[in-house]
Amino acid sequence: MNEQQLLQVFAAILFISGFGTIAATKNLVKMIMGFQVMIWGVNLALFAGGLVNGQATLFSTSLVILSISVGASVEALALSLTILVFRKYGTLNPWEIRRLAH
Amino acid sequence: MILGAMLVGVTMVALMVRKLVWSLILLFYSSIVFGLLLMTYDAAFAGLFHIITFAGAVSVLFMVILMIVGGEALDAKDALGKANYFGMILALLAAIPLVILTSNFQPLPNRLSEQAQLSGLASQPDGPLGFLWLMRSWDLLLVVILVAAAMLGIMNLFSREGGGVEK
Repeated sequence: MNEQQLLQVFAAILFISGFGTIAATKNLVKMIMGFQVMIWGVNLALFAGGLVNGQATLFSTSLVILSISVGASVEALALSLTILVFRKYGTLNPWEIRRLAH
Repeated sequence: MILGAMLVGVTMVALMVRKLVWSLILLFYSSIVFGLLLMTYDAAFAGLFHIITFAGAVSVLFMVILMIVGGEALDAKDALGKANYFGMILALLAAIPLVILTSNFQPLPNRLSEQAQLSGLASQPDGPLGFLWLMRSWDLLLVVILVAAAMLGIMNLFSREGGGVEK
């Protein structure tokens, strides 16, 4: 297994961890943390896919930068929505929020 | 490789630890490790951008959220219910196409390494920082537009007229 494939395995592990956290947790803040880790996994996969002779290409670096900014923007929006939801319902449990919303 | 293993290990511990404050601290640490990992492959720009964005801005956002939410978030109970095992299996299945896709991802054949491109551009009249607008015009423009859109969205969420919380 070369270095590129190893980084891709790390990326897959990060993605699985993030997705699993989103699926398993009952806290909105922890869900956003899982989403952040998923973004890191995608970033690492994009970066590892663009390695040539152990060096990053400009193409993959640009994709990573774009992905970082998209992820950070979405996270900021999600966190602001979390504050609004907490103010309105007083809880961060998504199941409880769903129950209160009806 | 060591940095990659550190990144995966610390991130998994951060997601598994129960206290959200510890999760935040460990994610802060692992975002710095991620940035260093990118830097070791001669992608200093992406690495620094990652550290500034995630270790700087996003960590502060999480900190503010924890301060506002307080005890509610700190007493989070993350019991893995039966229904959530389906989500875990789904996560494992989602990783398979990801690995296949990324293992087939090849850079365009005529592209040089970033270092070679930068050294070539350094001799141009625009100077060493010319690459910022010469070769990255589209993605940097998209970055600016996305960050501006996110800021507008947040301002709209918290404005009195635009869908704020009813009191």
